[in-house]
Amino acid sequence: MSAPERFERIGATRIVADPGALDGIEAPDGGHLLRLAPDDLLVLPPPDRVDVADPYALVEPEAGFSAAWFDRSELPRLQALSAWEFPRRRPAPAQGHLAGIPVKMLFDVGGVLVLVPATLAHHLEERLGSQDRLE
Amino acid sequence: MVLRLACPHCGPRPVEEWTYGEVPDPPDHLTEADERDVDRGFMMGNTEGVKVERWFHAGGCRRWQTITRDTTLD
Repeated sequence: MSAPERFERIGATRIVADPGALDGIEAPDGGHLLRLAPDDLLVLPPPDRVDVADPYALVEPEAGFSAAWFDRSELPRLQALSAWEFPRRRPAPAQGHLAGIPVKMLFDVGGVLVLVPATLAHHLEERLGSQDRLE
Repeated sequence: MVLRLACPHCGPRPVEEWTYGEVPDPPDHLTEADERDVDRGFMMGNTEGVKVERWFHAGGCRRWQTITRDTTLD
C-alpha cells in the first residue's frame, strides 16, 4: 500500500473537557480550533501551552490525522462527493462523510483544510483521484 | 431521497453517517436461546409513529444523540 501523496500527517492537541472550559480556549496565532463535539476540541497546530479551566480536562497530543488543503476552485468537486451541504459562512468548521469517509473540514475564504483519520487518507485520496479520472 | 438526521452539534447529516442504537429487547414469550438471539439480531421494533431513538453519529462528532423520528414519514 503506497502512502498518500496529497495528504500529510499533521500534529495537533486534543482536549476533552467541560464544554464551558473549551469555550474559553483561544486559537494559537495562525492556528485553528476545531470543535469535534461539545466536550472535544482539536487545536491546530499544537500550542506550546494550553490552559483549560477544568481540573479534569484531558490534554493529549493528537497524531491520528492527515490533512490536505483544497483550493476554493475545488469545492464544487468536493461538494459533489458529499450528501450534506457545506457551510456558506467563512471561516467555518464542519464534519461528516466525504466520498463515504469521515472527515473534519475547516472552511476558509481561500479553500478548505480537510482532515481525515490517517489510516483512511489513502482511501480518500484514491476516491478523489478516481473522480478525477471520471471527469 | 436521503434520510437525514439532525445532529445537534454537526447539523443535518445523511443516515449513512449514523449507527442505530436500539437496545434489543426480545419479548418474554420467547424462551429458547436461539429464538431470542434471532429476535435480538433481526427483529427491530420499527413501530409506526413518532419515536424517540438513540443514534450514534459515527461519521461526525462521534457522540450518542437522542433523536425524535416519525417512522411514517421516513
